[in-house]
Amino acid sequence: MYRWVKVNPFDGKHAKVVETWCRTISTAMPKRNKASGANLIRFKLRNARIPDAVQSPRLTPQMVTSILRMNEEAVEESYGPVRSYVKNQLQSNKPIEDRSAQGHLVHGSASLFGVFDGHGGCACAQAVSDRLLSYIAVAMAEHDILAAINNGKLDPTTDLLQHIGDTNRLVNTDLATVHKQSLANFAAEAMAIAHFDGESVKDALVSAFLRLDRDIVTEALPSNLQGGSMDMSCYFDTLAIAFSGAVGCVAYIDGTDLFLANVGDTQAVLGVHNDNRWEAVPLSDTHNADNPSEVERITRCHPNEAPNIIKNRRLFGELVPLRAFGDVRYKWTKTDLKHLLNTKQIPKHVMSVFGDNLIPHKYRTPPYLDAEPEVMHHILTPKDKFLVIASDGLWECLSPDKVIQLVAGHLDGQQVLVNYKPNEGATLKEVNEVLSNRRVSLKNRALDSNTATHLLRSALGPDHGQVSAQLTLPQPIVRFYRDDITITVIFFDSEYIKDKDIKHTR
Amino acid sequence: MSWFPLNRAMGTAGVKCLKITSPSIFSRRILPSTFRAAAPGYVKTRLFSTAEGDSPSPEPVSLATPPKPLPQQARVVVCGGGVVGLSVAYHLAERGWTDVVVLEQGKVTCGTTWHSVGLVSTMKATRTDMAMTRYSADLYKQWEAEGEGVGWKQCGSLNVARTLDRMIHLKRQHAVAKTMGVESQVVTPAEIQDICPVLRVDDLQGGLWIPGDGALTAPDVAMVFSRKAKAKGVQVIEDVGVEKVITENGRVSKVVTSAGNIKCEYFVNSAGLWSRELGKRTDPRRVNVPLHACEHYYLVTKPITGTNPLMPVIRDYDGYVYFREWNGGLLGGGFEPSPKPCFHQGPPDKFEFQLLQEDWDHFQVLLTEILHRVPAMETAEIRQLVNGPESFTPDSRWLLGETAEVANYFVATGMNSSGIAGAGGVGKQVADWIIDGRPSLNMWAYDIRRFIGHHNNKRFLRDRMQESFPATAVLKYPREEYTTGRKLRCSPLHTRQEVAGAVFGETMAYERAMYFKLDDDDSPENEDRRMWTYTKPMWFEAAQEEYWACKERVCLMDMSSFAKFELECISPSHSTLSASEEVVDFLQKLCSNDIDVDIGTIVHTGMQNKYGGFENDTTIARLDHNHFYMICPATQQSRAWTWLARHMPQDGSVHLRDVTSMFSGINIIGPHAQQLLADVSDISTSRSDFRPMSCKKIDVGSASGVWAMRLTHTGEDGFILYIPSEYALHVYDILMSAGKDYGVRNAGYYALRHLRIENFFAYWGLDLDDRTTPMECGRGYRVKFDKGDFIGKAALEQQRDHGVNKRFVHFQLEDYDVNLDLWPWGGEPIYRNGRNAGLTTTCGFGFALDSMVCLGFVRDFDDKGVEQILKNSNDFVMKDAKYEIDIAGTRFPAKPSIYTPKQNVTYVDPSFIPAPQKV
Repeated sequence: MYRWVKVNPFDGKHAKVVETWCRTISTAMPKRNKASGANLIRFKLRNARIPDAVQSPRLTPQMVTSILRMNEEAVEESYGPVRSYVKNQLQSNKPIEDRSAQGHLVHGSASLFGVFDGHGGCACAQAVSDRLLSYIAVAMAEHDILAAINNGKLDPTTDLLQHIGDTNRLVNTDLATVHKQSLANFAAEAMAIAHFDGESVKDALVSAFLRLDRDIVTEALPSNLQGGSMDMSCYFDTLAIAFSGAVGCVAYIDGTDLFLANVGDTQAVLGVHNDNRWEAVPLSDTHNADNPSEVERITRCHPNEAPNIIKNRRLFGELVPLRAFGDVRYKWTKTDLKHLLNTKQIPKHVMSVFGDNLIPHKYRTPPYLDAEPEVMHHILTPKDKFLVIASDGLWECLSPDKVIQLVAGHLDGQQVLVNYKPNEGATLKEVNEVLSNRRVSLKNRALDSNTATHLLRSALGPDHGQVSAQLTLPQPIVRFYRDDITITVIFFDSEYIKDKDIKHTR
Repeated sequence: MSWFPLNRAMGTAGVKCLKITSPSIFSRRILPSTFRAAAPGYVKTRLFSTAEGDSPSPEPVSLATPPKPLPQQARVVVCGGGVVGLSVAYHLAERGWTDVVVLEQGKVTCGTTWHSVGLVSTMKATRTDMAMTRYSADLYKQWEAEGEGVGWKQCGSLNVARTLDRMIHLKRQHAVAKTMGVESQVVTPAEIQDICPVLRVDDLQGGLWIPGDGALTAPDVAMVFSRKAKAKGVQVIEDVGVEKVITENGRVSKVVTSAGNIKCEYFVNSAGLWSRELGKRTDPRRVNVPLHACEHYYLVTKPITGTNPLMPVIRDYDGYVYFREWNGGLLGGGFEPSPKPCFHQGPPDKFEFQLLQEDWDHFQVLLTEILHRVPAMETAEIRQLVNGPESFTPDSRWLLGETAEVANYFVATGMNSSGIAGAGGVGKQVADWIIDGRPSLNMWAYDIRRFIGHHNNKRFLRDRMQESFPATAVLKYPREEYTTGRKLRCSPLHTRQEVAGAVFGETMAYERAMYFKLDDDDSPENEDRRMWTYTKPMWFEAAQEEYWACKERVCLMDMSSFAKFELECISPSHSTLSASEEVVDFLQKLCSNDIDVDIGTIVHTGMQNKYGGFENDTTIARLDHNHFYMICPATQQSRAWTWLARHMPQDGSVHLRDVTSMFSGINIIGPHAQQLLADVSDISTSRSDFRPMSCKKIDVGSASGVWAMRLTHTGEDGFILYIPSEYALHVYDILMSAGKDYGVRNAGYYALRHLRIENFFAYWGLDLDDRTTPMECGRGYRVKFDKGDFIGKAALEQQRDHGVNKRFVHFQLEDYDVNLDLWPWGGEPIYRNGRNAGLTTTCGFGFALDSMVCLGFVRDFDDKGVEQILKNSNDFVMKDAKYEIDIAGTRFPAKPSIYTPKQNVTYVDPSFIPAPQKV
């Protein structure tokens, strides 16, 4: 995500590259990122033209396909209403700042799917993707389980949640210990104060999000270093987490209940098949300056500061999302931030990563930012076929409607079995009707069997030249054309939902 | 009793085959590794009999001779026990050649014949087609009458038309059929409804009803061929595969089989799907058999109550489908436009009584059309969808005759899914061909020598399947070009011509500019005009422009596609400069004209076969004492080579080279050609210095070594330049820029064709063939009887003294409107005093004569349709004769002529403005 505009892309070092690429690509490709501002800058044209990247693709179709499929993943395990899910990811930032995580609650029947989008580095997104589902598991845990955790019979990081699919686990054991301790504390407090009563999923989700954010913020406080509870390198890691940021969206699916907790501008859209038409039902609001109610919420909390807070459609002219994990620059008090700057143990270069002015201009009444999720509840019906959760990299390229159409078409194409055989005793008319429908469906059969890859290709191209051009953008400027893209598509088992539905209504 | 033809074949012909009864055994046996490796998509194969719950059949009764040692030698070895191979063997035996062995790698009919639908239609594209299928039909009918049991049902066939163009197509067929005595009738939709009540007719324009057609049980036909052949002494040996064909001195000598070797004189490749692979296994030189397998689908329903067992065979070409009655149900199949080629890596070695995996989704296109035409089938249930491989050739015509590569190596294959209808006629023609050295009909359209090596390219064949498979159904307009497998052989001028707006056609895969688009050809008012049509085509105006440019100014025409050969004596002992006469002697033997002419002279000559017919019609230039340059029609590239090579002196003194690709040809046609060539070449081109029919080696621009010949192949004055290919572009550009003020322009083959048709120039392959003699086409003056012996001399003398069979005539249509009337395209019946006298060969509009010109041969048929000798052909043609030409049922009066019309003979001399006289 393009949030910290500290590096001016148009300084001398990058100018040449940007200019050439802008010329070669922008003419042929719709510009993806409104924020890039590439069109504002005028340069003297280079004399030597490099070939048009779209007209003269530098990658072969095979290369494009293997790049697009590098991170694809498909899990065909039916679990409750979830029939299967697929995901894929394409980086723009190096390293990629998007993360995703999936898991089942060990106690109970719920599934969790999260997509996280970091900014200012990947540390925070990594931490959130590692920790958030466990926090939700704890928040959902009933009294007995919390008691077992407190007794040490259950390990809150491993015994509550079963991860599925590939996950990038944190390797720093010191940091893991810190995180585990925080989670154990959360469990203890939850048992004491407000353990899950099986009713308010929404509250549990909100408390998990908030608690994780609070832990991220507090773990990085300079007092921890002085108190000696952490060694230096571990503390730097917590600092990196806290000073970077992440937004995210988590789907909680249990029976026919679907809850979506969202912080920031990651989005979830439900594909609903209604009377032969496909409909896109958004299940999250984006928390950025495009959302008037968000702007209003912030200005309400900080009366009289409105013109200072939202500048250039960003928080303090810097940050796009108006809710996020981490980003302590907008959360800590001015005192804490100053204290940090003056802490001798911290070398100057560590903090300089965050810019010369660590404390935002006119920083008066922090916190300006929090990680309270907006939670939406949806009761699944047999018409709900799939859910797409994706980072804003996808939504900048494709509208929710388009995404739903693409997934639906792909689903249709994939569902046609290759070898049709008519039933015994079928009349030719019946056979022909089936075949005619299959004919339409077969047309949708796409190059990629993975739906997420199909979306990815459609977002970038879908023509080979365009995809190739996107994938060969040089690192310094790729960020101006697209963001990291992470896509998770969850397919629902309509039969299961129908069953549940009937039982439910009875 | 199972419904399937195989089982019926077993019943009627006493065939039993163990392999087909047990699928488990079967599937183990027939999936050798080669199969899996070769065609992964086709691994799954199925049988029929199990569906009906057949009990395992008793001991296998071998259809053919019980295992006995393979003969050591035979006169003819036929490879392939399908209906075609057996028919060839039968017809050889009928003519007394009984020392024939048929080898079948599996069981008789097990390849393609067994799943053939068994339709016998006599309504085909050309008269030769019709003659052959009619022969087949008559043979099968006769057998049925004799009690041989081929399941013949004379149910007639009904070919229906959805479009007006299709109706014209049917009417044209009807017109030709009438001249052959084939009964057919043009019917209205209402009449169609009467003949076949199950058809939907509301969207039809009409149809053609052929009561004499029928359907039969295909494998039974093969069985009868086999039985009758064996009765005469032919050996049909099963389970013996041909591994290799060994040749010696370019002739067949030995066949290596899985059971031993057979020495033989003749070999016939009738291996169907396997023919191409078999051709490759010829030692030492492979034989090209260009065909590719393609999936062909048909569906059989369970019985439908009320189905008339004698329901006619329906062909709804515009919907790509056909129908026949089958055991109380209906069978519907077709030739869809996007077929699925199969066996691209070659068919598996074992593929006996097997089908391919059926793809219902692929069949849907046809199913919709089937249900559309016969709505009664909507409620029918499926008995079986059959997907059987069939082989198709690049132009959807059969592959017959002796191959160019190996003498005595014949092919009879590539049946394009009309093997049953064709088998009888094909067998007869190929047997005649082997015995007499030529078939009894003009078979050039089916002659395997119409192809050259590149046609055997696998990818080309697969690409072309997209057109050659549906060609059975899709309406092909006269002269319509293929669109697949194009741009293969291009002349050096190709890109220039393309820029100049050329529209290309293809001959022997060579791209030739047919015409150059006019500026307003793409304008909106021309939108409706069509390139391919039965009426005036959209290229008419463009061809007219080019025609007049050739007549009045000067045109450049790319002639690079013409086949070119060089004959030389190069061995040290026979120096080119010596007085020895090897090449002259050789050519004198082959040519009917005298080629022992002065160096630098060009001769038009035929190369006759022993019957006096044109094997080739060439232009030969004597470049040096023992060095000749020969120009043949593009289509002759394989055939001419074969004919020359087979007659060459055994001592190797004559050296033959195919230089088609070495030289590009530019034809400079028109009255200004003389001045234009003079401007760029520094030689005198006046008629006295550069006589017509002479050649010179000249420089054009900066290019040297260009052979200039004063002839144009059109009857107009001009030159052909044969240029080493790398100089061609240079010469073309020089001529174009130098010719600017002479009004030079590009011209294409349509202009050439119109010029030569109007000028009464016969072309080999179009007008002339191996059954036409120089005496019959007004070229007796080119036959020099006094020059010594040459091939065909006796036959020509016979004709000279006793008369000819036919006479080439130039017709001008009268009461004909070129803008409104249907055009003649060749193949239209000619009526002389109301009686059929033959067919036209080529037609074109004569712009100078301002009338439609048809060329064709006039014959005198007696009441039985037998050709009579014309004692005085001039009188027969010209005296007391009124002619009509039948175009799709309309007869136009025609004015005959046996000479080039006078107004076309006189050259229009370029009129130069005289220079001011000195006072």
